[in-house]
Amino acid sequence: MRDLRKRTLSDILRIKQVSKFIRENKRMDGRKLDEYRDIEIKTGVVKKAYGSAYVSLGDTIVIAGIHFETGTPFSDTPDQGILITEGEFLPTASFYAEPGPPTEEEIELSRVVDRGIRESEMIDLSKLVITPGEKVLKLFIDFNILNDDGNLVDAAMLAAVSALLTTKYPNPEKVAELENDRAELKDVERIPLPIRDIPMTVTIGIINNRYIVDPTLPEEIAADALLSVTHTKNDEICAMQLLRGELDYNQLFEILNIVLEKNKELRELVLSKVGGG
Amino acid sequence: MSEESQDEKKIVIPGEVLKDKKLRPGEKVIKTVGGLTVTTYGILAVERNKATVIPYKEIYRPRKDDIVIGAVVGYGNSGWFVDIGSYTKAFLHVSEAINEKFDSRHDELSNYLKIGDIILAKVTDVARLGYFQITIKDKGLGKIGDAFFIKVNPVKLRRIIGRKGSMINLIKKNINGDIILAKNGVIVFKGDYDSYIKLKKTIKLISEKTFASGLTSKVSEILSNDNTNIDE
Amino acid sequence: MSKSKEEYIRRDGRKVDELRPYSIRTGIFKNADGSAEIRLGGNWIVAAVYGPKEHFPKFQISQDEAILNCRYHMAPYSTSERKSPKPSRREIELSKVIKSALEKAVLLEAFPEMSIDVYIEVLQAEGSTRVASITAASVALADAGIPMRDMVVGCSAGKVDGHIILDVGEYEDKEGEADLPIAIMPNLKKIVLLQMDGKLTHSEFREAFELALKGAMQLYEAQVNALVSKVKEMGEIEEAEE
Repeated sequence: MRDLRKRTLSDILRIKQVSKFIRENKRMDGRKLDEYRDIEIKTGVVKKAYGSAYVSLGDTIVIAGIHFETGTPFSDTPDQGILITEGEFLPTASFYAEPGPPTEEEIELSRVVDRGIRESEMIDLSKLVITPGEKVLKLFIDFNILNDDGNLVDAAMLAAVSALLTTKYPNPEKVAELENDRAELKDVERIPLPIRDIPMTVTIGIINNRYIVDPTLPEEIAADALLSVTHTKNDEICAMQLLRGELDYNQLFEILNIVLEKNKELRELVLSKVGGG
Repeated sequence: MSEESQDEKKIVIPGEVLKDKKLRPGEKVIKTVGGLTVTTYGILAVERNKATVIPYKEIYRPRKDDIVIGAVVGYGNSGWFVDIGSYTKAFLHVSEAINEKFDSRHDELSNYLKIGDIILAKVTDVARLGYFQITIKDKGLGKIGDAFFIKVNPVKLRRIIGRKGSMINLIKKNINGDIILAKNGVIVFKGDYDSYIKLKKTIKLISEKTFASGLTSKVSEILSNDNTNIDE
Repeated sequence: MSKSKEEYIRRDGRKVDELRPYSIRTGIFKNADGSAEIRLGGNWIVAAVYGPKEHFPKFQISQDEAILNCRYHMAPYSTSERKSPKPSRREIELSKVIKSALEKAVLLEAFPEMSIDVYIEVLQAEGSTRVASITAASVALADAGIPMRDMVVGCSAGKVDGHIILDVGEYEDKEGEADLPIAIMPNLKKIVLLQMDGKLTHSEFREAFELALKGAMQLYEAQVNALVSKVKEMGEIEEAEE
């Protein structure tokens, strides 16, 4: 990620300038240090999926889609459905994003998004059971980065959450009545997904000892540390990931204060654009 | 086509056939069975019966003696690989960077230039596409320390410079600081933050309204406006 | 019995010679050198171009011309059953035929030893994606400033309920009697992609081919409009400096 050998001239020129701006408490795009870029959220963009969302965060573009299949529950959770999150960069995203098996960065991103949704208990997985111990619904969250200009965690989380909030899923009682489910699953009566919480992730970068909200790609590369924090609707912390770098103890708590503020702002935005909760 | 068409400027896309028998193929135009075919998306300019396309976008194609901005992105056996925003990396041989003799047994290339360093360089050799050699040994060339950079597509430079340098002179007259235009579309600015914002706004306007008429007066308006808050 | 050609109305309400609603946009991605989006009925497809650029690995370079890499890929959520993100045999075949079609148009000889990457992502699929993909990819190539002999534009025709129809939709593909996707270079009048499955008599084939050609020319116009309007956003054309 920080390897400049794989960067283009334009990227390196932007990276070289980041700290020059930050020193003056300014950013290249004119934003305040604690300001998000323009956020666009559109739901229901892919009608073939059970739920979907398109999110742009400045020039970062993410699409998430929700699908269901039937499957066997895990033996330790016979009365719970299964949640699977898979995220990938599409090769359209950037000069360095190439087709192929998921990279460690893509897997980390998927797992960070997955953890936020899972640990907030956003979805009541017990409502995804068809026959306890035998048959449950598998919920797939697939998201793709179409264009990468940084802060993919926040963007992917917004896309996944917005898609889930607008998802209607096959009524498990009706699925139980099916004989050959796989082919007919999409025709089963659909009901809103049982939503219990709405997790929100805010990522902060540290550059020259200053805290930067919603870092762009050059800011991420120039940053000394990057921390993603996910909150539940009751302002509990439900997932964290130090994506890179090191933090002083006091920095951690200063960041948490900023995140708590920003998290509210983001949540209001999602609720106003998508509804739910 | 009528006689008026001589000075006509027209948006063209690849495959468009120019049927006028008088026309000769210029850049981005090839001869085909039906007449001349435009190969590149852009603006068609006909001058003295020569049909040329000014491309909408283009990857920088180095020419000998071009002054360019590059970023050091790798070490070779006897020099550095430098990204100059072209098809391939340019090569900067160690003898084109330092005066003393370089002895790789006791010395490291990174003592002189490191990955991520930005340099102002001159293109010395463009023998084949993909083999660009550069030097930083001439006066004024070398590593650039503290500066602002603005990157535009190289096709925009024509308009930023303007006819006989009219546009760039107007900009330089109104902005405090040093401005260097590198041929690969990088604008280097040494000056204060507010002047930089003013310059960036101006360049943005010219890039977005490349083909607009009355551009000079719009640029003057920005430059004379002291209220320089950027609205992005 | 099947109705006459004039009155036959298709399941989605279209006449036999009618395209689905369509739109093409270009310059949709910031990072790519060129990009485009096509919507054709429920199809939503994006394409991005990177290059010409240094080709890796080095031992595979072509000394005479650029290598065109092409990937056609469907997103997991693009179909009503989840598609694994891993490329299927179908996607690999389509990548190949799309590449062959685009290669005929791009002036590869202008960039020896380089490669040009074309990435096509189907975000929602609803029949005839391969031809819509080519149409978008060719606009993305033009947007990247890559020189071409001509644009490439694709369209399909087929046979449903005994009728020859234009622009095969999803149900028509599944339930129809034949499917004929083609791609052409519209000014040079060359066919660069041609596939067929199902059964057609010679006269039906001719009718289907001509219908597909007609549809392709309509989409070509949309390609032109997408590119022309992009330049127009940059101001009224006025090259002479005041």
